[in-house]
Amino acid sequence: MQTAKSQTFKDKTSKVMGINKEDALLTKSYIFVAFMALLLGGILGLVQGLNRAGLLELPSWVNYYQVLTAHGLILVVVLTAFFTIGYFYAGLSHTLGGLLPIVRKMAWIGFGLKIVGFVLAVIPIIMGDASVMYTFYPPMAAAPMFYIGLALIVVGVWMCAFGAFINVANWRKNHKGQHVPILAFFATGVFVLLFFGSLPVAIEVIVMIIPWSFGWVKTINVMVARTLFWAFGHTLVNIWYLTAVSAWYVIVPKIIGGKRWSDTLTRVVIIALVIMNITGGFHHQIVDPGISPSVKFMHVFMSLAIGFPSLMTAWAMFAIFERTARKQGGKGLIGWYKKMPWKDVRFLAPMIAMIAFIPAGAGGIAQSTNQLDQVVHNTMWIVGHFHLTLGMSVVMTFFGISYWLVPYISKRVLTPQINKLGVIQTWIWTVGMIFMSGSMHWVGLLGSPRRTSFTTYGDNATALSWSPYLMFLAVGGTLLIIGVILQVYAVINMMFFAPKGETEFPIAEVEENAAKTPYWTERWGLWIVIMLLVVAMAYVIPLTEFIVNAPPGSPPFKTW
Amino acid sequence: MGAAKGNKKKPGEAHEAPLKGTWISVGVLGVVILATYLLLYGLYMTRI
Repeated sequence: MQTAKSQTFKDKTSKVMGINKEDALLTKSYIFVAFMALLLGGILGLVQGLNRAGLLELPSWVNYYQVLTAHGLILVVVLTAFFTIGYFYAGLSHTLGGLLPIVRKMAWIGFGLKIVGFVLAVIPIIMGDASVMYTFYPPMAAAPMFYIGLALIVVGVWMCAFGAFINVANWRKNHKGQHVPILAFFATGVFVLLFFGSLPVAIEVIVMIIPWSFGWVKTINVMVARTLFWAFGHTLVNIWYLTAVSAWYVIVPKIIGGKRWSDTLTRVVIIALVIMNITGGFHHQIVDPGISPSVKFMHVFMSLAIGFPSLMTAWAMFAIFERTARKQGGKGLIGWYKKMPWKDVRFLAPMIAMIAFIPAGAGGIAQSTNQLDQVVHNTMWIVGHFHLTLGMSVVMTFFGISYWLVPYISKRVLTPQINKLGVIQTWIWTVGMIFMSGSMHWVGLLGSPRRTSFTTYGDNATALSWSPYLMFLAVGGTLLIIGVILQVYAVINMMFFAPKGETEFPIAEVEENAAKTPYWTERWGLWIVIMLLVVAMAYVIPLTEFIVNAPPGSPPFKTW
Repeated sequence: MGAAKGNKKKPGEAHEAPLKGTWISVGVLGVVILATYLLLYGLYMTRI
């Protein structure tokens, strides 16, 4: 074990010399896979969008649901998992003085497990044996290989989570009494959620679905399976969100030349999001049968509670922007916004992502309410909401991160040309997503269902009235694929072809006169116990109900 | 409003104190949430 002295030396050299080669290669590999997933998933998204608008007929050997499953799996699981892990491992390496050899090895094993798992999951999708969409709700049943692949992806993620815990624990051991650096604190929160959030889906897949898909057991309890999925599914959404939030709090202030708002507030937001997240899953089942109104009421409250740290974040970010812009000469009530570096893609992309989170978060809050959810449930509104949150707030932040992270790990620089390309890409993506997500929201309010391939329901007048909005969806999808191509080009350029040079890992400092952060924020053991108590409060009663008063189990169905 | 107190101590930076733009921005956020609620509530009431 290293001594505190050598650890401090490593911290300093890491900050001065930049990331070491081995850590850089690890993050580079993760980021490369993430952006290849963006390209592949984006192409599939375009095919799907054109088909959904009635503009493209798919060949007989591929169906809409097959494309939908692949699009969801590649973007929802592969892009996000690989980007999140690559980004945070670079952050851990930078802020904790390098990755430990054992941690690096675990991350590579995790990388391999995820790739093998992904290949195993994709083969049955291509063969047409797993068109179950990314939620893989039973009683729809895919080939067992699909679920084995998913299980391996989860195990791969766990390897990376435990690697992160080991690295942070080692740093804490060598820095007694000090606060974990803020980006490593964010990483801890994200990996805690990744591990505990994926436990339910691991139980669902390994204990319930795999034996059922092999035919070892004849039926499955659909309600338990759905509940375990959403305990994971919603947490995954918030893992992406927390990853994006880390860049908003820590990176963006540095890029605009400012300071972080409040270290205490930032850490409290992270702790609150970790404690309250997993219980949010039930609002995805708010119109499911078999759940008592009182339990649903509790879950609406628990879901809305997640909004509070988000509102704290909104306040903190606006305050950082205003304070920084005014220090740089910004005037007026809101005229200071003009002082923001709008031509710097490292700011522009996450800034638009944050703005997008206003309507995205508003939609999320409103549709968590039982009655209001009935207006939009299972309509295209939900798909629009998902694309606004993931496709705008999260992915655009990831894009913004790529413009400094990729040059940093590649020991290259962001050129003015690529910055300009990034600004153009950001606006194309923004307009495309406004068209696509906006039309999805609106056509959903008019009743157009989600998870349904193109149909006019025998030229029904209502269904025909959806067509103009679906055209906007297709236009948006076309703009988005242009955005995908530009983004992937920019990443490849920055990774392999941009001029050599040093790029800073931008981490903002706290204010000079900032209050001291209380040390109780570091009590991760306590936060995890509280999180588990909240999870137990949310899930023990309904799960017991589903098991004790179980409905008749279902045999597997192939609906496609 | 810790920032406001801190800034008053520094001559020439008193204009930073109120963070009025922050309040306006947060207000816009609140209006968007309210408008979304009203939209869905209106549709719900017309459809039941």
